[in-house]
Amino acid sequence: MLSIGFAGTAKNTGKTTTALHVLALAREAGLRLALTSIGYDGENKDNITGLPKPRYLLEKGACLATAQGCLKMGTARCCIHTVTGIQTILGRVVIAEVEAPGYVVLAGPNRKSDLRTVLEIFARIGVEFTLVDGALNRLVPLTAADGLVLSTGAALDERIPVVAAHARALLSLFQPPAVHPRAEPSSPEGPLSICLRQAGGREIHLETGSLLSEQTLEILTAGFDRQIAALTIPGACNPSLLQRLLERGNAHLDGADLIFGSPLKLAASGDPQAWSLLFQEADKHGQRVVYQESVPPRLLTVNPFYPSYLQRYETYGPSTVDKIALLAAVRQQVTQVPVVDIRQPHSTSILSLLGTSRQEPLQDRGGPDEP
Amino acid sequence: MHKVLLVPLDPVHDNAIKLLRRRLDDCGFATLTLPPGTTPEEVIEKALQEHPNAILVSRTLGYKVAETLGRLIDLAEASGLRETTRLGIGGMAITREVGAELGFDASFVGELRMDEVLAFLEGKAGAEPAVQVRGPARLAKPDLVSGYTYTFKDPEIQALLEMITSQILEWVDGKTSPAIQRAQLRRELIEAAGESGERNAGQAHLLARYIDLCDGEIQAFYRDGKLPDGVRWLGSHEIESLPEKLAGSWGKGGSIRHVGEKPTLFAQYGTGCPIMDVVHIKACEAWGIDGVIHFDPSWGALQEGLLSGLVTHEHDGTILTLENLRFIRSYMEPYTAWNVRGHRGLNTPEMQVLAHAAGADYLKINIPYGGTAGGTDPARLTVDGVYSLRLAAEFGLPYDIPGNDELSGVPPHKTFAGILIMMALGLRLGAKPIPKPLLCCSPYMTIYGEMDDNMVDMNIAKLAVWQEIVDTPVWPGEPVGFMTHTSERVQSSIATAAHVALAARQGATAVTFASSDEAYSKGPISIPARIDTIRAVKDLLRFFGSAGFEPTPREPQIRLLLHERIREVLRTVAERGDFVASLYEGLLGNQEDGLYPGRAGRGTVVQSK
Repeated sequence: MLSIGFAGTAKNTGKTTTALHVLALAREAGLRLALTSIGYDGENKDNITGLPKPRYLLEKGACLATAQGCLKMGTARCCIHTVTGIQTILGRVVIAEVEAPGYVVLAGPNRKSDLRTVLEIFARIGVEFTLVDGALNRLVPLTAADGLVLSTGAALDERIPVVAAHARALLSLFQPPAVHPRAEPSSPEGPLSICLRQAGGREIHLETGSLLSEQTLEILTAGFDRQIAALTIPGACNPSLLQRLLERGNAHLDGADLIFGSPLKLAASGDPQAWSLLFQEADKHGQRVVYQESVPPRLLTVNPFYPSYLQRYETYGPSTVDKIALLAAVRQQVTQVPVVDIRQPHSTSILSLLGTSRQEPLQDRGGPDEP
Repeated sequence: MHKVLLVPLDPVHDNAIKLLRRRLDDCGFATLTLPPGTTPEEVIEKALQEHPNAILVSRTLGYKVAETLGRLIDLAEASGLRETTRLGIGGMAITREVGAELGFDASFVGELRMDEVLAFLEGKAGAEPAVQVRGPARLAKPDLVSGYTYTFKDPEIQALLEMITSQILEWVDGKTSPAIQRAQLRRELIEAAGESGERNAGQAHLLARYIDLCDGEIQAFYRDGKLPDGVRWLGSHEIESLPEKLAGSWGKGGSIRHVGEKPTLFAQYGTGCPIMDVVHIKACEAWGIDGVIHFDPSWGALQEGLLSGLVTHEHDGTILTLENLRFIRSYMEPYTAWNVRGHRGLNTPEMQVLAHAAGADYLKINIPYGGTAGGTDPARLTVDGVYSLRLAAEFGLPYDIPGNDELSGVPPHKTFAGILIMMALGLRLGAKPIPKPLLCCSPYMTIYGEMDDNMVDMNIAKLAVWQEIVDTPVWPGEPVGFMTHTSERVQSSIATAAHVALAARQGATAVTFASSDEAYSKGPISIPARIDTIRAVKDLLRFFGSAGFEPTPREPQIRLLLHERIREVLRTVAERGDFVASLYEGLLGNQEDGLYPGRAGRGTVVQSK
């Protein structure tokens, strides 16, 4: 089974719209589908802006993982396959199958460990392709998926150059190489701990797995009495604190492996542009960044829409930036993955790009190659 | 000891956090507080140092604030904190759905409710917390008759009622009516349909007999499929799209009461459309109403026979069919009490059968009121009413006795005499009655100046006199404040709230109050108007708390006079020796009081075979 997470850089960047597009393609291609969300999706209007939202329409045979209470909020008739032990605000997460098509409301597992459990169940019951809708700008749980579709756009920032630069930095986070062969195995449950491995093999383990405090910075600095072979920070990591740590480490850290939990944890911990600069600096010192686990981005979508606040009416209204300019600017900055605006013609075969064995017919890809 | 980290993720405000800290400290939790302006990174950093069992975040939601909260959750996940520490959020505009989208483990909606916070901290979401807090958490349906002995404290009244009720039971003995026969057939039809509710061949015979007992318009419905004018079937799209319309923060609202468990608060509904009724009921539940009352249309009381199926019409009152009632009930929360009105017309017994089959908790039966202001022939309604009381006893459902004949001009002592007769009758048959004195500025009050100075004395007297006569629950309505409302919503809400507050402070078991536009709406009752009144009631109950109303020295005199006049009326009815004749002759309300004997169903009482 293949699972793809749909993550956004901010609210309203189009991740659900993108997921719906992929859902339609996958349905046409005859894949047995499943759907879940790490947040809350499928409502008819945005809880914060009040603007209309895209809704999930599922056909018979599709599976979903959602809070039990959400089953009666949609119009699809579903039968419950499994009641999991995963508890959310809206109730216990159930695995259900659609018996009569209709709209569904999704409120699935919001933690990585729980998402893994759900994906395992889907795989066991024969699902071929699972879409995991993200929530807001939340990323970390999606590490459990096999691949990512990232969405960005004017909802992040109305200034196109800012969106493009952010996208470039974000994608660069995923560039560091595959899992370090000597890296500690990632631990989905249980404590994580920072490890400073000195040349010669001595290891200093801290109680915490995250670099978020001055205190942790001081403790780590004390370990710089000799050359460092590897620094593992499996949890969250404040990039400015890391910057200071690297500066303090000076030559002791030259050539060291910098092992982080995942690119999504770094994205959650700080501005991607700060990380981009830090990686460049690390490269100059021969330091190699690797991850304990990663999830490959497959596609980046851009969305010119943003909700603008109408002061006079104390409400939100839809607005857009120049969609052609946005797409062009981001494509210029991001070269690691295809960049598309799914509402504009493109030639990308999304399904095969995501890793399925199917691909959508040519007519579903829209117009000719972009110039 | 549970350790809780309290975080105002707001640049300035932390009042909610301070309040929460005080309450949690009182409950024995170890609390740590961060100041306003704390960043998500600082929160996680603190949590990694202190290892709290839970983090509670307070923040008003706004655009872009959601991203900050999302980042907090992501950082908690990235740092491994989510495996050991639970995260909850509360604040303005926070709903359960927003909490789910943000990835929190709990969201606290609206006003701070410690019972919910404690249940979350103890890992018992939705259950009663081990640590008790001040203030009620109503998860169980209220039992309005529990704890009352119905012991009469006025021997003379008790004796008079004994005489009157004996006479009534003797009079009805051997008599029946088409309504009783239809009720019996309806029970058989329901039993024959069983769980599936579907009609089978065996029921055709029962239905045919039922139809024969109906008026022409109802017969045409069953035989020819012809709906009465203005009535239509509910559309499948309307029914199927209702869950979607209701998606959102429905469910148990915070208590409207500020102190104590009483009174149980009821709202009335009957928009004409079951779909709209459900939406109104869900709004009421979300705003803390404990129970609802189904109002049926007046025209349904004047025809022999009831329709069936999911039907709607654009007039006041929602048509009483088993399907409509079950549909409405299926959307109610399990803890919402339900009273179904069917007390004053030609279908009274059958309405009790339907109410019971649909899951009602309370019935409504009043012969004097229904046999006069309700428009039903007194003889007919006496036979039907007694049968209905027997059903109430059999079903184990308490029944209330409304005193709305005061609206016609009947003085309270006559209304109360009639209610007492209905109480005594029900008690003799094994049923549990609940009198419903109407707190209103009735024509009688206006004409005789009883409320010229204030509305407190008379209303307190009307409530207090019951406890002088009998140990009984008292449920003022429907609704309180009748004839004190104007078309101005603020005035209407305040007037209602004042009446509810008075009833509450006088120990009423339950109170029914209406939406602020109910008396004057020229169209459907609106939900904003309902919420106006609920908010007004809540605020006035908060204002009074455990304090009360102080009547003038006139009140005891009013009460004494009321009590004596009730006895006089009962003496007169007892001496007359014929309850039905008493109704015809106006002993419980005459033409001068604005009451006339009802005419619907006259001559339809027959001897049983």
